Amino acid sequence: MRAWVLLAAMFLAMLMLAGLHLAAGARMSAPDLVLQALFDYDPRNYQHVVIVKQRLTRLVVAGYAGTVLAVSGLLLQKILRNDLVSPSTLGINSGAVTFAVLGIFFFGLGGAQVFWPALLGGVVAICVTFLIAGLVGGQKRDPLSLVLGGSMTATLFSAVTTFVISLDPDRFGDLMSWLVGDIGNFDYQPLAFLWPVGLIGLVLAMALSRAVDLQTLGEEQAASLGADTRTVRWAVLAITIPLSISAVSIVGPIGFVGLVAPHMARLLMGETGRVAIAFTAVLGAIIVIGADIVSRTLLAPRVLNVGTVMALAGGIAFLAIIVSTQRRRRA
Amino acid sequence: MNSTDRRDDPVLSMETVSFDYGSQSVIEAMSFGVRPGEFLAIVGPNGCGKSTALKLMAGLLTPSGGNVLLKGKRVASMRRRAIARELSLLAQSNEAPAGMLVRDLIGMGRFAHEGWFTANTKEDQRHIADAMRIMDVETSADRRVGELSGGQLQRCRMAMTLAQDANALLLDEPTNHLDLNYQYALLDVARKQAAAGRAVVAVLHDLTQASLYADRIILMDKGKIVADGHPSDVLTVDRVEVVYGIRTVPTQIGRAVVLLPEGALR
Repeated sequence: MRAWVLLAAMFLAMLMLAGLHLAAGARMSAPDLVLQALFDYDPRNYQHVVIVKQRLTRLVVAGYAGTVLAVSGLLLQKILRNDLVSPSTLGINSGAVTFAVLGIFFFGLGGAQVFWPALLGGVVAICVTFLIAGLVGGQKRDPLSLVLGGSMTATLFSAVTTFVISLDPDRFGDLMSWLVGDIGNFDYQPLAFLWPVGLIGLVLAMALSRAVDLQTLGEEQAASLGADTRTVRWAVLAITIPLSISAVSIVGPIGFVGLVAPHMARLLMGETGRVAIAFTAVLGAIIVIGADIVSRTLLAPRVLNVGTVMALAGGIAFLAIIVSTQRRRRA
Repeated sequence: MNSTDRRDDPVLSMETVSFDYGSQSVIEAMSFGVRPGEFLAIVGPNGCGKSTALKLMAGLLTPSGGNVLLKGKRVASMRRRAIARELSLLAQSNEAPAGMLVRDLIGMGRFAHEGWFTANTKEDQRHIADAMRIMDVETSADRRVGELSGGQLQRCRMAMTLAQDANALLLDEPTNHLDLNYQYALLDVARKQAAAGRAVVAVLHDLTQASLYADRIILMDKGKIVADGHPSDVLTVDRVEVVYGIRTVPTQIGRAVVLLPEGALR
Protein backbone atom coordinates (compact mmCIF):
# COMPACT_ATOMS: atom_id res chain seq x y z
CA MET A 1 0.00 0.00 0.00
CA ARG A 2 2.73 2.41 1.06
CA ALA A 3 4.68 1.37 -2.03
CA TRP A 4 1.80 2.29 -4.34
CA VAL A 5 1.44 5.72 -2.69
CA LEU A 6 5.16 6.34 -3.16
CA LEU A 7 4.95 5.25 -6.78
CA ALA A 8 2.00 7.57 -7.42
CA ALA A 9 3.81 10.46 -5.71
CA MET A 10 6.94 9.88 -7.76
CA PHE A 11 4.90 9.69 -10.95
CA LEU A 12 3.28 13.00 -10.09
CA ALA A 13 6.73 14.49 -9.44
CA MET A 14 7.81 13.25 -12.86
CA LEU A 15 4.82 14.92 -14.52
CA MET A 16 5.62 18.19 -12.79
CA LEU A 17 9.25 17.96 -13.81
CA ALA A 18 8.13 17.18 -17.36
CA GLY A 19 6.06 20.38 -17.29
CA LEU A 20 9.09 22.32 -16.11
CA HIS A 21 11.16 20.69 -18.86
CA LEU A 22 8.71 21.92 -21.49
CA ALA A 23 8.66 25.44 -20.05
CA ALA A 24 12.39 25.78 -19.38
CA GLY A 25 14.93 26.80 -21.97
CA ALA A 26 16.90 29.77 -23.16
CA ARG A 27 13.62 31.61 -22.74
CA MET A 28 11.20 30.45 -20.05
CA SER A 29 7.72 29.82 -21.43
CA ALA A 30 4.62 30.57 -19.38
CA PRO A 31 2.61 27.53 -18.21
CA ASP A 32 -0.47 28.52 -20.24
CA LEU A 33 1.68 28.76 -23.37
CA VAL A 34 2.97 25.23 -22.75
CA LEU A 35 -0.57 23.91 -22.33
CA GLN A 36 -1.67 25.79 -25.45
CA ALA A 37 1.21 24.34 -27.45
CA LEU A 38 0.30 20.84 -26.30
CA PHE A 39 -3.45 20.95 -26.74
CA ASP A 40 -4.00 23.68 -29.32
CA TYR A 41 -0.89 23.48 -31.44
CA ASP A 42 -0.32 26.27 -33.95
CA PRO A 43 2.56 25.55 -36.37
CA ARG A 44 2.85 29.24 -37.22
CA ASN A 45 3.59 30.14 -33.60
CA TYR A 46 7.39 29.92 -33.12
CA GLN A 47 7.04 29.32 -29.36
CA HIS A 48 4.71 26.39 -30.01
CA VAL A 49 7.17 24.93 -32.49
CA VAL A 50 10.01 25.18 -29.95
CA ILE A 51 7.94 23.56 -27.21
CA VAL A 52 6.61 20.66 -29.30
CA LYS A 53 9.33 20.03 -31.89
CA GLN A 54 12.32 20.65 -29.66
CA ARG A 55 11.48 20.34 -25.98
CA LEU A 56 8.74 17.70 -26.13
CA THR A 57 10.82 15.41 -28.33
CA ARG A 58 13.81 15.85 -26.01
CA LEU A 59 11.55 15.16 -23.04
CA VAL A 60 10.32 11.88 -24.51
CA VAL A 61 13.83 10.75 -25.40
CA ALA A 62 15.18 11.72 -21.95
CA GLY A 63 12.32 9.88 -20.24
CA TYR A 64 12.87 6.80 -22.38
CA ALA A 65 16.62 6.69 -21.79
CA GLY A 66 16.25 7.22 -18.04
CA THR A 67 13.59 4.54 -17.73
CA VAL A 68 15.35 1.75 -19.59
CA LEU A 69 18.81 2.46 -18.17
CA ALA A 70 17.48 2.54 -14.60
CA VAL A 71 15.56 -0.73 -14.97
CA SER A 72 18.57 -2.39 -16.63
CA GLY A 73 20.76 -1.28 -13.74
CA LEU A 74 18.33 -2.61 -11.14
CA LEU A 75 18.06 -6.04 -12.77
CA LEU A 76 21.82 -6.33 -13.25
CA GLN A 77 22.45 -5.38 -9.63
CA LYS A 78 20.04 -8.08 -8.50
CA ILE A 79 21.30 -11.00 -10.58
CA LEU A 80 24.95 -10.17 -9.95
CA ARG A 81 24.20 -9.38 -6.28
CA ASN A 82 26.41 -6.36 -6.64
CA ASP A 83 25.26 -2.81 -5.86
CA LEU A 84 28.00 -1.26 -7.97
CA VAL A 85 27.06 -2.58 -11.39
CA SER A 86 25.04 -0.86 -14.11
CA PRO A 87 25.17 -0.74 -17.92
CA SER A 88 27.87 1.92 -17.73
CA THR A 89 30.02 0.48 -14.93
CA LEU A 90 30.00 -2.94 -16.62
CA GLY A 91 31.40 -1.35 -19.79
CA ILE A 92 28.29 -2.18 -21.88
CA ASN A 93 27.83 1.44 -22.91
CA SER A 94 31.42 1.91 -24.08
CA GLY A 95 31.40 -1.32 -26.07
CA ALA A 96 28.19 -0.19 -27.72
CA VAL A 97 29.68 3.16 -28.69
CA THR A 98 32.82 1.58 -30.16
CA PHE A 99 30.90 -0.87 -32.31
CA ALA A 100 28.42 1.84 -33.34
CA VAL A 101 31.33 4.03 -34.47
CA LEU A 102 32.80 1.08 -36.38
CA GLY A 103 29.40 0.52 -38.01
CA ILE A 104 29.21 4.18 -38.99
CA PHE A 105 32.75 4.22 -40.30
CA PHE A 106 32.83 0.99 -42.25
CA PHE A 107 29.21 0.54 -43.28
CA GLY A 108 27.92 4.08 -43.29
CA LEU A 109 25.14 3.23 -40.84
CA GLY A 110 23.04 5.97 -39.30
CA GLY A 111 20.05 6.60 -37.04
CA ALA A 112 18.39 3.53 -35.54
CA GLN A 113 20.63 1.24 -37.64
CA VAL A 114 23.50 1.67 -35.19
CA PHE A 115 21.44 -0.38 -32.72
CA TRP A 116 22.71 -3.62 -34.25
CA PRO A 117 26.47 -3.02 -34.09
CA ALA A 118 25.95 -1.35 -30.70
CA LEU A 119 24.16 -4.45 -29.43
CA LEU A 120 27.04 -6.64 -30.58
CA GLY A 121 29.45 -4.23 -28.91
CA GLY A 122 27.50 -4.39 -25.64
CA VAL A 123 27.64 -8.19 -25.64
CA VAL A 124 31.36 -8.26 -26.45
CA ALA A 125 32.08 -5.64 -23.76
CA ILE A 126 30.25 -7.47 -20.97
CA CYS A 127 32.11 -10.68 -21.87
CA VAL A 128 35.42 -8.83 -21.66
CA THR A 129 34.38 -7.33 -18.32
CA PHE A 130 33.46 -10.73 -16.84
CA LEU A 131 36.74 -12.12 -18.14
CA ILE A 132 38.82 -9.35 -16.56
CA ALA A 133 36.85 -9.52 -13.32
CA GLY A 134 37.46 -13.27 -13.23
CA LEU A 135 41.19 -12.77 -13.75
CA VAL A 136 41.39 -10.04 -11.14
CA GLY A 137 39.00 -11.35 -8.50
CA GLY A 138 39.24 -15.12 -8.99
CA GLN A 139 36.80 -16.99 -6.80
CA LYS A 140 36.50 -14.12 -4.34
CA ARG A 141 33.31 -12.23 -4.96
CA ASP A 142 34.57 -8.73 -4.37
CA PRO A 143 32.05 -6.28 -5.83
CA LEU A 144 34.86 -3.97 -6.86
CA SER A 145 36.50 -6.50 -9.20
CA LEU A 146 33.53 -6.34 -11.59
CA VAL A 147 33.63 -2.55 -11.55
CA LEU A 148 37.37 -2.63 -12.13
CA GLY A 149 36.82 -5.02 -15.05
CA GLY A 150 34.14 -2.68 -16.39
CA SER A 151 36.32 0.39 -16.20
CA MET A 152 39.26 -1.38 -17.87
CA THR A 153 36.92 -2.56 -20.62
CA ALA A 154 35.62 0.98 -21.04
CA THR A 155 39.17 2.30 -21.30
CA LEU A 156 40.12 -0.28 -23.93
CA PHE A 157 37.03 0.37 -26.01
CA SER A 158 37.28 4.14 -25.84
CA ALA A 159 40.85 3.84 -27.16
CA VAL A 160 39.45 1.95 -30.15
CA THR A 161 36.73 4.59 -30.56
CA THR A 162 39.27 7.40 -30.51
CA PHE A 163 41.45 5.56 -33.00
CA VAL A 164 38.61 5.02 -35.48
CA ILE A 165 37.53 8.65 -35.20
CA SER A 166 41.09 9.89 -35.73
CA LEU A 167 41.11 8.09 -39.08
CA ASP A 168 38.62 10.58 -40.43
CA PRO A 169 37.68 13.25 -37.87
CA ASP A 170 35.57 15.28 -40.28
CA ARG A 171 33.19 12.43 -40.76
CA PHE A 172 32.44 12.28 -37.05
CA GLY A 173 32.04 16.02 -36.50
CA ASP A 174 28.29 15.68 -36.06
CA LEU A 175 28.69 12.75 -33.72
CA MET A 176 30.97 14.35 -31.17
CA SER A 177 28.14 15.27 -28.80
CA TRP A 178 26.57 11.81 -29.14
CA LEU A 179 29.89 10.29 -28.12
CA VAL A 180 29.74 11.90 -24.70
CA GLY A 181 26.03 11.34 -24.31
CA ASP A 182 23.60 13.95 -25.49
CA ILE A 183 19.97 14.40 -26.33
CA GLY A 184 19.53 16.13 -29.65
CA ASN A 185 16.42 17.71 -31.07
CA PHE A 186 16.09 15.01 -33.71
CA ASP A 187 16.67 11.99 -31.50
CA TYR A 188 13.01 11.07 -31.65
CA GLN A 189 13.63 9.68 -35.13
CA PRO A 190 15.64 6.60 -34.02
CA LEU A 191 13.36 6.32 -30.99
CA ALA A 192 10.43 5.86 -33.36
CA PHE A 193 12.07 2.57 -34.42
CA LEU A 194 13.58 1.47 -31.12
CA TRP A 195 10.75 2.00 -28.61
CA PRO A 196 9.41 -1.56 -29.08
CA VAL A 197 12.74 -2.86 -27.70
CA GLY A 198 12.08 -0.84 -24.57
CA LEU A 199 8.47 -1.92 -24.28
CA ILE A 200 9.23 -5.62 -24.69
CA GLY A 201 12.19 -5.37 -22.32
CA LEU A 202 10.15 -3.65 -19.61
CA VAL A 203 7.27 -6.13 -19.90
CA LEU A 204 9.69 -9.06 -19.61
CA ALA A 205 11.43 -7.38 -16.68
CA MET A 206 8.07 -7.16 -14.89
CA ALA A 207 7.25 -10.77 -15.73
CA LEU A 208 10.58 -12.04 -14.38
CA SER A 209 10.70 -9.75 -11.36
CA ARG A 210 9.79 -12.43 -8.81
CA ALA A 211 12.40 -14.91 -10.04
CA VAL A 212 14.96 -12.09 -10.17
CA ASP A 213 14.17 -11.07 -6.59
CA LEU A 214 14.94 -14.60 -5.43
CA GLN A 215 18.47 -14.28 -6.84
CA THR A 216 19.28 -11.69 -4.19
CA LEU A 217 19.17 -14.47 -1.57
CA GLY A 218 22.13 -16.23 -3.13
CA GLU A 219 22.33 -18.95 -5.75
CA GLU A 220 21.59 -21.95 -3.56
CA GLN A 221 18.68 -20.42 -1.71
CA ALA A 222 17.16 -19.09 -4.95
CA ALA A 223 17.40 -22.50 -6.58
CA SER A 224 15.90 -24.32 -3.63
CA LEU A 225 13.01 -21.85 -3.55
CA GLY A 226 12.25 -22.94 -7.11
CA ALA A 227 14.02 -20.48 -9.41
CA ASP A 228 16.08 -21.83 -12.26
CA THR A 229 19.09 -19.66 -11.47
CA ARG A 230 21.01 -20.12 -14.69
CA THR A 231 18.00 -19.43 -16.91
CA VAL A 232 17.04 -16.35 -14.92
CA ARG A 233 20.54 -14.93 -15.22
CA TRP A 234 20.76 -15.46 -18.96
CA ALA A 235 17.27 -14.07 -19.42
CA VAL A 236 18.15 -10.93 -17.48
CA LEU A 237 21.30 -10.40 -19.56
CA ALA A 238 19.27 -11.01 -22.72
CA ILE A 239 16.78 -8.36 -21.59
CA THR A 240 19.02 -5.70 -20.09
CA ILE A 241 21.67 -5.54 -22.80
CA PRO A 242 19.25 -4.70 -25.69
CA LEU A 243 17.29 -2.48 -23.31
CA SER A 244 20.23 -0.28 -22.40
CA ILE A 245 21.67 -0.40 -25.93
CA SER A 246 18.37 0.92 -27.32
CA ALA A 247 18.95 4.03 -25.21
CA VAL A 248 22.68 4.29 -25.91
CA SER A 249 22.09 4.09 -29.68
CA ILE A 250 19.91 7.17 -29.40
CA VAL A 251 21.52 9.38 -26.78
CA GLY A 252 25.03 7.99 -26.48
CA PRO A 253 26.63 6.59 -23.34
CA ILE A 254 24.77 8.44 -20.60
CA GLY A 255 26.26 6.97 -17.46
CA PHE A 256 25.27 6.54 -13.84
CA VAL A 257 21.46 6.60 -14.22
CA GLY A 258 21.50 2.83 -14.16
CA LEU A 259 23.61 2.89 -11.04
CA VAL A 260 22.06 5.72 -9.07
CA ALA A 261 18.35 5.22 -9.74
CA PRO A 262 18.21 1.72 -8.16
CA HIS A 263 20.05 3.04 -5.11
CA MET A 264 17.62 5.91 -4.67
CA ALA A 265 14.72 3.50 -5.12
CA ARG A 266 16.21 1.20 -2.48
CA LEU A 267 16.50 4.06 0.00
CA LEU A 268 13.01 5.39 -0.63
CA MET A 269 10.98 2.24 -1.11
CA GLY A 270 12.94 -1.00 -0.94
CA GLU A 271 13.68 -3.15 -3.91
CA THR A 272 11.34 -6.10 -3.91
CA GLY A 273 8.55 -6.68 -6.35
CA ARG A 274 7.11 -5.16 -9.48
CA VAL A 275 6.20 -1.85 -7.87
CA ALA A 276 9.89 -1.34 -7.11
CA ILE A 277 10.72 -1.86 -10.80
CA ALA A 278 8.13 0.72 -11.83
CA PHE A 279 9.40 3.08 -9.13
CA THR A 280 12.98 2.72 -10.35
CA ALA A 281 11.82 3.34 -13.93
CA VAL A 282 10.09 6.59 -12.93
CA LEU A 283 13.12 7.68 -10.89
CA GLY A 284 15.38 7.03 -13.88
CA ALA A 285 13.16 9.19 -16.07
CA ILE A 286 13.19 11.94 -13.44
CA ILE A 287 16.99 11.89 -13.23
CA VAL A 288 17.60 12.21 -16.98
CA ILE A 289 14.80 14.74 -17.51
CA GLY A 290 16.24 16.75 -14.61
CA ALA A 291 19.75 16.51 -16.05
CA ASP A 292 18.43 17.71 -19.40
CA ILE A 293 16.80 20.71 -17.78
CA VAL A 294 20.08 21.55 -16.04
CA SER A 295 22.07 21.07 -19.24
CA ARG A 296 19.84 23.52 -21.09
CA THR A 297 19.53 26.18 -18.42
CA LEU A 298 22.77 26.17 -16.42
CA LEU A 299 24.79 28.10 -18.99
CA ALA A 300 21.86 29.29 -21.15
CA PRO A 301 21.81 30.13 -23.97
CA ARG A 302 24.66 27.62 -24.31
CA VAL A 303 23.48 24.01 -24.06
CA LEU A 304 25.62 21.48 -22.21
CA ASN A 305 25.59 17.76 -22.92
CA VAL A 306 23.30 15.72 -20.70
CA GLY A 307 26.11 13.18 -20.55
CA THR A 308 28.41 15.81 -19.04
CA VAL A 309 25.87 16.80 -16.41
CA MET A 310 25.17 13.16 -15.56
CA ALA A 311 28.87 12.29 -15.41
CA LEU A 312 29.48 15.11 -12.97
CA ALA A 313 26.54 14.41 -10.67
CA GLY A 314 26.66 10.65 -11.15
CA GLY A 315 30.40 10.40 -10.64
CA ILE A 316 30.09 11.96 -7.21
CA ALA A 317 27.14 9.70 -6.36
CA PHE A 318 29.10 6.66 -7.55
CA LEU A 319 31.98 7.53 -5.25
CA ALA A 320 29.58 7.89 -2.32
CA ILE A 321 28.02 4.51 -3.12
CA ILE A 322 31.38 2.76 -3.36
CA VAL A 323 32.52 4.22 -0.06
CA SER A 324 29.33 3.21 1.74
CA THR A 325 29.32 -0.28 0.20
CA GLN A 326 32.92 -0.93 1.18
CA ARG A 327 32.30 0.37 4.69
CA ARG A 328 29.32 -1.94 5.07
CA ARG A 329 31.39 -4.88 3.88
CA ARG A 330 34.08 -4.18 6.41
CA ALA A 331 31.65 -3.59 9.25
CA MET B 1 0.56 -32.90 2.29
CA ASN B 2 -0.63 -35.89 0.32
CA SER B 3 -2.40 -38.34 2.62
CA THR B 4 -2.12 -41.21 0.15
CA ASP B 5 1.65 -41.42 0.70
CA ARG B 6 2.60 -44.55 2.51
CA ARG B 7 4.33 -43.54 5.67
CA ASP B 8 7.13 -46.05 5.32
CA ASP B 9 8.18 -45.07 1.79
CA PRO B 10 11.17 -42.74 1.88
CA VAL B 11 10.41 -39.19 0.74
CA LEU B 12 13.99 -38.65 -0.26
CA SER B 13 16.63 -41.26 -0.91
CA MET B 14 20.23 -41.44 -2.02
CA GLU B 15 21.15 -44.52 -4.05
CA THR B 16 24.91 -45.14 -4.14
CA VAL B 17 25.49 -41.44 -4.79
CA SER B 18 29.02 -40.30 -5.51
CA PHE B 19 30.32 -36.84 -6.16
CA ASP B 20 33.71 -35.51 -7.10
CA TYR B 21 35.34 -32.22 -8.00
CA GLY B 22 37.60 -33.26 -10.87
CA SER B 23 39.77 -36.07 -9.60
CA GLN B 24 39.01 -35.34 -5.95
CA SER B 25 36.27 -37.55 -4.55
CA VAL B 26 33.99 -35.72 -2.09
CA ILE B 27 31.19 -38.24 -1.60
CA GLU B 28 31.63 -41.98 -2.10
CA ALA B 29 28.72 -44.35 -2.77
CA MET B 30 26.34 -42.91 -0.19
CA SER B 31 23.02 -44.68 0.30
CA PHE B 32 20.21 -43.86 2.69
CA GLY B 33 16.58 -42.74 2.74
CA VAL B 34 14.52 -40.41 4.89
CA ARG B 35 10.94 -41.30 5.73
CA PRO B 36 8.03 -39.00 6.52
CA GLY B 37 8.02 -38.09 10.19
CA GLU B 38 11.71 -38.78 10.59
CA PHE B 39 14.28 -36.31 11.93
CA LEU B 40 17.68 -37.27 10.55
CA ALA B 41 20.84 -35.46 11.64
CA ILE B 42 24.03 -35.63 9.59
CA VAL B 43 27.17 -35.02 11.65
CA GLY B 44 30.89 -35.22 11.03
CA PRO B 45 34.04 -33.13 11.11
CA ASN B 46 34.55 -30.10 8.83
CA GLY B 47 35.16 -31.07 5.23
CA CYS B 48 33.67 -34.57 5.65
CA GLY B 49 31.14 -33.85 2.89
CA LYS B 50 28.00 -33.36 4.98
CA SER B 51 27.01 -30.07 3.36
CA THR B 52 27.81 -31.53 -0.06
CA ALA B 53 25.52 -34.46 0.75
CA LEU B 54 22.73 -32.02 1.60
CA LYS B 55 23.26 -30.10 -1.66
CA LEU B 56 23.12 -33.36 -3.60
CA MET B 57 19.84 -34.21 -1.86
CA ALA B 58 18.46 -30.79 -2.75
CA GLY B 59 19.47 -31.21 -6.39
CA LEU B 60 21.84 -28.24 -6.21
CA LEU B 61 24.68 -30.51 -7.27
CA THR B 62 24.40 -33.33 -9.79
CA PRO B 63 25.83 -36.67 -8.64
CA SER B 64 28.82 -38.05 -10.53
CA GLY B 65 27.29 -41.47 -9.96
CA GLY B 66 24.08 -42.91 -8.52
CA ASN B 67 20.69 -41.28 -8.12
CA VAL B 68 18.88 -38.99 -5.72
CA LEU B 69 15.16 -39.82 -5.67
CA LEU B 70 12.46 -37.46 -4.44
CA LYS B 71 9.20 -39.36 -4.04
CA GLY B 72 10.54 -41.92 -6.46
CA LYS B 73 11.50 -39.41 -9.15
CA ARG B 74 15.07 -38.61 -10.13
CA VAL B 75 15.86 -35.16 -8.77
CA ALA B 76 18.36 -34.56 -11.58
CA SER B 77 15.56 -34.75 -14.16
CA MET B 78 13.07 -32.53 -12.27
CA ARG B 79 12.53 -28.81 -12.79
CA ARG B 80 13.57 -26.53 -9.92
CA ARG B 81 10.00 -25.43 -9.32
CA ALA B 82 8.75 -29.02 -9.07
CA ILE B 83 11.55 -29.87 -6.64
CA ALA B 84 10.78 -26.80 -4.55
CA ARG B 85 7.17 -27.85 -4.07
CA GLU B 86 8.34 -31.09 -2.44
CA LEU B 87 11.61 -30.06 -0.82
CA SER B 88 12.77 -26.92 0.93
CA LEU B 89 16.28 -26.02 2.02
CA LEU B 90 17.58 -23.55 4.54
CA ALA B 91 20.94 -22.73 2.95
CA GLN B 92 23.95 -21.77 5.02
CA SER B 93 24.57 -18.35 3.50
CA ASN B 94 22.38 -15.74 5.11
CA GLU B 95 22.59 -13.34 2.22
CA ALA B 96 19.57 -11.04 1.87
CA PRO B 97 19.32 -7.45 0.66
CA ALA B 98 19.26 -4.94 3.52
CA GLY B 99 16.32 -3.04 2.02
CA MET B 100 14.00 -6.03 1.74
CA LEU B 101 10.97 -6.21 4.04
CA VAL B 102 10.80 -9.27 6.28
CA ARG B 103 7.27 -9.91 5.00
CA ASP B 104 8.59 -10.02 1.41
CA LEU B 105 11.49 -12.26 2.40
CA ILE B 106 9.19 -14.81 4.00
CA GLY B 107 6.78 -14.49 1.06
CA MET B 108 9.55 -15.73 -1.23
CA GLY B 109 8.97 -19.16 0.25
CA ARG B 110 5.76 -19.27 -1.79
CA PHE B 111 7.48 -18.80 -5.18
CA ALA B 112 7.19 -22.43 -6.26
CA HIS B 113 3.43 -22.40 -5.62
CA GLU B 114 2.71 -19.18 -7.49
CA GLY B 115 1.39 -18.94 -11.03
CA TRP B 116 1.76 -15.98 -13.37
CA PHE B 117 -1.46 -14.44 -12.20
CA THR B 118 -2.02 -16.14 -8.88
CA ALA B 119 0.59 -14.70 -6.54
CA ASN B 120 -0.28 -13.91 -2.94
CA THR B 121 -3.48 -15.95 -2.79
CA LYS B 122 -5.39 -16.65 0.43
CA GLU B 123 -3.50 -19.90 0.75
CA ASP B 124 -0.14 -18.15 0.30
CA GLN B 125 -1.07 -15.64 2.98
CA ARG B 126 -2.14 -18.42 5.34
CA HIS B 127 1.16 -20.26 4.96
CA ILE B 128 3.14 -17.03 5.44
CA ALA B 129 1.17 -16.13 8.57
CA ASP B 130 1.59 -19.65 9.99
CA ALA B 131 5.33 -19.62 9.33
CA MET B 132 5.74 -16.23 11.01
CA ARG B 133 3.79 -17.42 14.04
CA ILE B 134 5.79 -20.65 14.33
CA MET B 135 9.12 -18.78 14.16
CA ASP B 136 7.87 -15.97 16.40
CA VAL B 137 8.77 -13.20 13.96
CA GLU B 138 5.31 -11.65 13.48
CA THR B 139 6.35 -8.38 15.11
CA SER B 140 9.22 -8.02 12.62
CA ALA B 141 7.01 -8.36 9.52
CA ASP B 142 7.31 -4.71 8.50
CA ARG B 143 10.96 -4.28 9.41
CA ARG B 144 13.76 -4.29 6.89
CA VAL B 145 16.27 -7.11 6.73
CA GLY B 146 19.13 -4.66 7.40
CA GLU B 147 17.64 -3.80 10.81
CA LEU B 148 17.68 -7.41 12.01
CA SER B 149 20.35 -9.12 14.09
CA GLY B 150 21.95 -12.25 12.63
CA GLY B 151 19.73 -14.42 14.80
CA GLN B 152 16.52 -12.64 13.85
CA LEU B 153 17.42 -12.94 10.17
CA GLN B 154 18.08 -16.65 10.57
CA ARG B 155 14.63 -17.13 12.18
CA CYS B 156 13.02 -15.17 9.33
CA ARG B 157 14.83 -17.32 6.77
CA MET B 158 13.60 -20.41 8.58
CA ALA B 159 10.08 -18.96 8.38
CA MET B 160 10.58 -18.51 4.63
CA THR B 161 11.60 -22.16 4.37
CA LEU B 162 8.51 -23.25 6.34
CA ALA B 163 6.23 -21.10 4.16
CA GLN B 164 7.40 -23.28 1.26
CA ASP B 165 5.25 -26.05 2.78
CA ALA B 166 7.33 -28.92 1.38
CA ASN B 167 7.34 -32.58 2.44
CA ALA B 168 11.08 -32.66 2.92
CA LEU B 169 12.86 -30.01 4.96
CA LEU B 170 16.66 -29.77 4.67
CA LEU B 171 18.56 -27.59 7.11
CA ASP B 172 22.22 -26.74 6.58
CA GLU B 173 23.69 -25.86 9.99
CA PRO B 174 20.44 -24.11 10.97
CA THR B 175 21.63 -23.07 14.43
CA ASN B 176 24.35 -20.79 13.00
CA HIS B 177 24.01 -17.17 14.07
CA LEU B 178 21.58 -18.13 16.84
CA ASP B 179 21.78 -17.59 20.58
CA LEU B 180 21.41 -20.73 22.66
CA ASN B 181 17.71 -20.22 23.43
CA TYR B 182 16.89 -19.75 19.75
CA GLN B 183 19.07 -22.70 18.74
CA TYR B 184 16.82 -24.94 20.80
CA ALA B 185 13.70 -23.10 19.69
CA LEU B 186 14.64 -23.73 16.07
CA LEU B 187 15.39 -27.39 16.70
CA ASP B 188 12.04 -27.68 18.54
CA VAL B 189 10.36 -26.31 15.41
CA ALA B 190 12.24 -28.79 13.24
CA ARG B 191 11.16 -31.66 15.51
CA LYS B 192 7.53 -30.50 15.36
CA GLN B 193 7.76 -30.41 11.58
CA ALA B 194 8.91 -34.03 11.66
CA ALA B 195 6.11 -34.92 14.07
CA ALA B 196 3.65 -33.35 11.61
CA GLY B 197 4.81 -35.89 9.03
CA ARG B 198 7.59 -34.12 7.15
CA ALA B 199 10.98 -35.65 6.55
CA VAL B 200 13.59 -33.44 8.22
CA VAL B 201 17.31 -33.64 7.50
CA ALA B 202 19.68 -31.33 9.37
CA VAL B 203 23.43 -30.95 9.12
CA LEU B 204 24.51 -30.22 12.68
CA HIS B 205 27.81 -29.49 14.39
CA ASP B 206 26.84 -30.17 17.98
CA LEU B 207 26.67 -33.90 18.71
CA THR B 208 24.65 -33.39 21.88
CA GLN B 209 22.03 -31.36 20.05
CA ALA B 210 21.94 -33.98 17.32
CA SER B 211 21.39 -36.80 19.81
CA LEU B 212 18.78 -34.77 21.68
CA TYR B 213 16.65 -33.99 18.65
CA ALA B 214 17.27 -36.53 15.91
CA ASP B 215 15.55 -39.90 15.62
CA ARG B 216 18.49 -41.07 13.62
CA ILE B 217 22.05 -39.90 13.06
CA ILE B 218 24.38 -40.39 10.13
CA LEU B 219 28.03 -39.94 11.09
CA MET B 220 30.22 -39.07 8.11
CA ASP B 221 33.95 -38.99 7.60
CA LYS B 222 35.94 -38.37 4.42
CA GLY B 223 32.92 -38.57 2.16
CA LYS B 224 31.62 -41.86 3.54
CA ILE B 225 28.97 -42.94 6.01
CA VAL B 226 30.73 -44.27 9.11
CA ALA B 227 27.54 -45.15 10.99
CA ASP B 228 23.80 -44.74 10.47
CA GLY B 229 21.26 -45.43 13.20
CA HIS B 230 19.85 -44.49 16.58
CA PRO B 231 21.85 -41.66 18.23
CA SER B 232 23.08 -43.70 21.19
CA ASP B 233 24.20 -46.49 18.83
CA VAL B 234 26.01 -44.16 16.44
CA LEU B 235 27.78 -41.84 18.86
CA THR B 236 30.12 -44.23 20.59
CA VAL B 237 33.37 -43.22 22.24
CA ASP B 238 35.44 -45.29 19.80
CA ARG B 239 33.80 -43.94 16.66
CA VAL B 240 34.10 -40.36 17.86
CA GLU B 241 37.77 -40.93 18.57
CA VAL B 242 38.38 -42.34 15.09
CA VAL B 243 36.43 -39.59 13.30
CA TYR B 244 37.20 -36.51 15.39
CA GLY B 245 40.50 -37.59 16.88
CA ILE B 246 39.61 -36.95 20.53
CA ARG B 247 39.08 -39.40 23.36
CA THR B 248 35.85 -38.67 25.20
CA VAL B 249 33.97 -39.71 28.31
CA PRO B 250 30.32 -40.46 27.61
CA THR B 251 27.33 -39.48 29.72
CA GLN B 252 23.73 -40.12 28.85
CA ILE B 253 21.08 -37.71 30.13
CA GLY B 254 17.66 -38.84 28.98
CA ARG B 255 18.05 -39.34 25.26
CA ALA B 256 20.96 -36.94 24.97
CA VAL B 257 24.43 -38.34 24.46
CA VAL B 258 27.00 -36.03 26.01
CA LEU B 259 30.60 -36.67 25.06
CA LEU B 260 33.12 -34.71 27.07
CA PRO B 261 36.76 -34.65 26.00
CA GLU B 262 38.98 -36.56 28.39
CA GLY B 263 41.69 -33.95 28.17
CA ALA B 264 39.40 -31.17 29.31
CA LEU B 265 38.15 -33.15 32.29
CA ARG B 266 41.61 -33.65 33.79
